Amino acid sequence: MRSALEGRPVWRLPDTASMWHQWGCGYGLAAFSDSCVEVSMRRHATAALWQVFLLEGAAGAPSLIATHADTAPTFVDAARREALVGLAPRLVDLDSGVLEGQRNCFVLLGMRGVGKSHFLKSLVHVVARAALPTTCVIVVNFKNAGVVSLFAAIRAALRDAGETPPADADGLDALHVYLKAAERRVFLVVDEVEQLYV
Amino acid sequence: MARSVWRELHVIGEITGQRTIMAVITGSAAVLRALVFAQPGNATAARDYPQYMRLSSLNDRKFLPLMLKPLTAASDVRRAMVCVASGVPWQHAAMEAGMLRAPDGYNVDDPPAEALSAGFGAGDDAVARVQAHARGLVGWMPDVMTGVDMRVRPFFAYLRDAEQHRMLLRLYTAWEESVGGTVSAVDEAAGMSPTLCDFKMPLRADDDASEWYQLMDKGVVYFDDELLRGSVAFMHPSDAGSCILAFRDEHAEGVLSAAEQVSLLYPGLSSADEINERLVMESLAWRSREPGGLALVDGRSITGLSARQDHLLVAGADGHTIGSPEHLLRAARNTLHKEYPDMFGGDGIALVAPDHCGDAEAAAPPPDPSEHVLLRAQVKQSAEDATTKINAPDARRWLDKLAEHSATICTQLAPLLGEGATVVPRHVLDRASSIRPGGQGVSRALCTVRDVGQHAGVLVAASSCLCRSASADEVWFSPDCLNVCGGNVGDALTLSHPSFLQRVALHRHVQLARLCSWRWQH
Repeated sequence: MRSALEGRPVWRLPDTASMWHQWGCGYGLAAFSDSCVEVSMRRHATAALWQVFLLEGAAGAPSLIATHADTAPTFVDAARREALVGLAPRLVDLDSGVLEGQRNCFVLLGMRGVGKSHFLKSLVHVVARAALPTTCVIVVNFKNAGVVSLFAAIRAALRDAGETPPADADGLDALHVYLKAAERRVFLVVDEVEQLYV
Repeated sequence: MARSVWRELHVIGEITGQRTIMAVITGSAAVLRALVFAQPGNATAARDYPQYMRLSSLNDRKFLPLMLKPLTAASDVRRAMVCVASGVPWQHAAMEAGMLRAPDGYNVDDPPAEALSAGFGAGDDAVARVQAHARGLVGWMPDVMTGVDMRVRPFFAYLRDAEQHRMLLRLYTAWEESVGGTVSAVDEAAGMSPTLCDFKMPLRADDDASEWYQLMDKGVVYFDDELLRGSVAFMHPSDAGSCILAFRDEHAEGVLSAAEQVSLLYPGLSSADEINERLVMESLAWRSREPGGLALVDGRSITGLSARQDHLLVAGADGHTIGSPEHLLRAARNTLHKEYPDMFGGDGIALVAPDHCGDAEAAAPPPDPSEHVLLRAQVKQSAEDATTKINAPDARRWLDKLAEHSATICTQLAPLLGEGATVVPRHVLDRASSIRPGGQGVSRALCTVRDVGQHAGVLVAASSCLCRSASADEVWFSPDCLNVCGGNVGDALTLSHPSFLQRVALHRHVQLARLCSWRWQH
């Protein structure tokens, strides 16, 4: 399992980055789930695996997300573990191309300063490091970037991967159709969303 | 542009079948909650009205909230401090900041990678400081999120206690000296610039820092011991003004003038109307989005309005064009704007297209497809004193002026809407205080919107954390909000008192914006 983390090194997400994308460079997040186990159990198993292997694990403190980036690692307390339990199985399904139903949107709430953005930064590094090359992690921070188009960011990521995404004029749904046909998946992180309203 | 991003998020949420995009959205908690409840469409969806099926999946069944909380338990804090300091750069940074204690035998030239297994520790003092920050955060943010009266927070309890407030007095005195005396201090405090908190009072060598820790813990002051040099600052810009109000009588010469007191009590506010008028516009837009729309006296209803917070120049009653009618036509179509200048009677204006006018009752005549409605709102929030009443002559004068000016605008707009198009005025008088006997009849006769505004209703519409009953006079905090804020039902009942609600309006829109972006993000 741990070998899944030992893929090629990923580009670092700088602290001040307004937009960042990184295609997965690992063996896939499905490596962290056990297909023999019942789905409901798999969620818990996946989450447990994330706690053990996507954190520092055997290397040291078991309650840290290792970022391997410019930012400090994230301490995983009960609240963050709960967030991982919600996210991890769905990320596995997204990476495997089988995410369905009402499971693809999350709102991360928390008081200002508790580390929501930091948690997400750590998470995106782990996901980018372990996910399949067909999955792209995109981070958009409206505070630094101003108001930008999320779909334009996805198109830019696709172009970087040598794809030719549909144009703006084709409508918003066209991008979804294209991603589905090309068997590409996107994990989109939107931070500082209040900047849209100030 | 923000609308287009929202549309994109909507598309991501509404993809059917296999999902190609997964989104995690985060930001200010208050804003995220407001997104659900303040947007009329979403709020309706959250209540699952079947006629809004397109939006109905934008509720919490799909948007799973992931709640992060600050660390507060000493053991968690200590462990986090050591764990996060793993890695050489983090170890160095933590040790320099006094947050990490190196183990015996620590070799600076060959540092261990893992702080926890290498035996690093965190000093009790450093842990207490981080805990104080976290507890302060926990203590403050619910107030910020719900708009609780800031005057009940510990800062004011401490300020009022003449036996205890010596440390705050010391901070205030040092700050007053730094700005050049009381007169300058009043000017500075009334401006409520964030730079007020840039002033830092260095601690003396013989000062007991733990006392200041305790004050920071309570949220009274901001204590900064960066680089091991302790200094104290105001937690919030308004604290300086509060100190002047408290200490001036007690320790300084003379008393403040009425103008000075007002400028300190309501810093940065040009007038309460600036806030109340905006709330009324939001309320009207809210009602128009509810099933049935905004009912007119003639039996018709206005639907689907939105409200904008920016000012709109309007045409003058004297026939001279102050703002361009073309601009008004573009900007105010189905959108309520705050009017500027407000000397012509109206506080808010919208031009409602025929397709936004429907039948509120079956008996009403069918809407004329060429008839636009010019909706004008006049807000009268005369005072906080519940006994203050609006008299009949005043009500008539305001409404006559409003009607006269509306007729002028209608005349200017009609030719721009195309051949055969007509514009009819409709008026709203929104009031916080009651009307004297006789005045009620006047306002009813002259207002063409059936429901004259009620203050509680306005507040409910404006405050994303509040729900309201059918009567619009009963309000309560939503259970969801209480869960977030750790409140309870008893608090909610107490907080629903009208005098509190008026302050909610002020604080939610003024303090919230200021506080949310304030200290804890630094």
